[in-house]
Amino acid sequence: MNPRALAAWSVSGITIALATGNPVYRVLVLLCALNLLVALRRPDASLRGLGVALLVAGLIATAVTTLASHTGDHAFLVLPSSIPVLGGPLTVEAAFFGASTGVGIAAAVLAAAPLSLVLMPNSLVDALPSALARTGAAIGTALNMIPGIARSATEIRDAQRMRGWRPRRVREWPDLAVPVVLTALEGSITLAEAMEARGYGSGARTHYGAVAWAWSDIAVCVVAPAAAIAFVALRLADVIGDWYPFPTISVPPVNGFGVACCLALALPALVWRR
Amino acid sequence: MTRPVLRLLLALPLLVAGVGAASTVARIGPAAPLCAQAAYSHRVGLVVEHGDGRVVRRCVGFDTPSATALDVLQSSGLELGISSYGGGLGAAVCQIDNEPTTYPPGCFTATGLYWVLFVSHAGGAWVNSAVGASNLTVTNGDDIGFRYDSQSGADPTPPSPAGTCPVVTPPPAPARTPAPASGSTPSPRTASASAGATATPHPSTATPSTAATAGVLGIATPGPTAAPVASVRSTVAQPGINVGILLAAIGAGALIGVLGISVLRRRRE
Repeated sequence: MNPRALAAWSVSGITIALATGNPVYRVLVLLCALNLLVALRRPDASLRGLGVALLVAGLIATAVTTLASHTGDHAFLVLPSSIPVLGGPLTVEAAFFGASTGVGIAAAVLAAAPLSLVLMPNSLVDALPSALARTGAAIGTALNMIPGIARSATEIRDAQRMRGWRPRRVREWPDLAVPVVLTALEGSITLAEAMEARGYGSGARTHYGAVAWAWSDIAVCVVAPAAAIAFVALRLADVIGDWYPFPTISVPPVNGFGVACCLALALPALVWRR
Repeated sequence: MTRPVLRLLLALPLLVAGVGAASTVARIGPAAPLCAQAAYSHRVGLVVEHGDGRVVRRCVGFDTPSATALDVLQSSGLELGISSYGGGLGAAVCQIDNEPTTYPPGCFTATGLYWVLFVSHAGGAWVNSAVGASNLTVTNGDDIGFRYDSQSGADPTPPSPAGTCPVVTPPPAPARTPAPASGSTPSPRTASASAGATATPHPSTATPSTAATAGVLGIATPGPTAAPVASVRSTVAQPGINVGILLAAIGAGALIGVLGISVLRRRRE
């Protein structure tokens, strides 16, 4: 698969997921993204962490909306009004609205996830326009340091424990934080020297091999943005409506053309192979 | 072998969706008839212009010296959803006659459309209200207008209220009956019960019902063709099978099926 085609697909998925508050369209985008991730993700990439994070985000969105929004006809619990912000009726409608928000967040994140879980980082940097190549390399390098720092923190914590370190108060955490920061700085300097030794910043980025465009890449690159544009146009024309569960829950209005735009995002799962 | 099956499963809903028609159901009902007479001492005209241009008119009667626009709206029989502007502005009208279908907690939808409130005092021109419906006071002969319009740009006025309620002259002070002992919330009454075939443009000559109670509002209905509130509401078209929902269900089912197959295949690998 061509990284630029996948990037176009991701942007299209995010656009559709964020263009409407209708949970039906969001669920369809989420399912399309899940299909792509499960079928095409790298063998070394796990979906478990992402899944847990999205589940937590969805639960937080639902809880916050339920507690803070007191609109809706069907209250299942009434908190004392003396409690600031949270006081008042907690409604089923607000809970549904929070869940719909959570689904939207999950759909948007899953639409962006293939860029890191399907593509190799170097492929992504290669796909950037030449004007953004250096910035992309810097950002990619910085993002790659995050898991490295996490690993380093685990190793240092274990080493400190073997020396009898037992943190009981916050003031004892610098015993861990200082070595982690120093290690990260040392790693950054080493990486910078390695990049410079390989010619980073000395000229235009060169490529080991040109990335070819297959017919399937072209199809994805055309269909996905076209679906997103059509969806936004339908949204602006008010053919595709938003959905709010207030004052009482109702079935979301769903348009056939909007559904077709969402299902068009399933194309990569049809035409791409790992 | 599996891959063609997967493609077929995914291609099927796409094909079906491609030929799907818009599932929105047009909901156009006849404009409510105008009032001709009422057994109330005071009346206010209500003009509601929907986003599609449909205009609903009501003539609402009441026996108190004044009423709020919210009272009038609530007594008109139209479906209503309200929220609070806060800051002493009073109630914001979020939904009238099921438009918009739903609304967010903050009342105003992302489409930028909302119900603009106008008032016309004693047959004057429409004036945009600076306060919410619960804080806008109207008296006999006034008119209230609501227009579903964009939050940006100018606010075109609703259609003229002329004819919604006939010209009203200030009625003589009615002989009020003593309020019932319990009488804090008397039951509302509609003028449909007293709507006669002989419409008169001067309702002040109509004899107020001796049962008239201060604070009670009602709908002044227009003579022999008057329709009760229930039948006015029934003019809203009932939605049939929603093609969009059907397509979405088929598509989601296919995607979940393919997802399950993909998961099993990855586990085997």
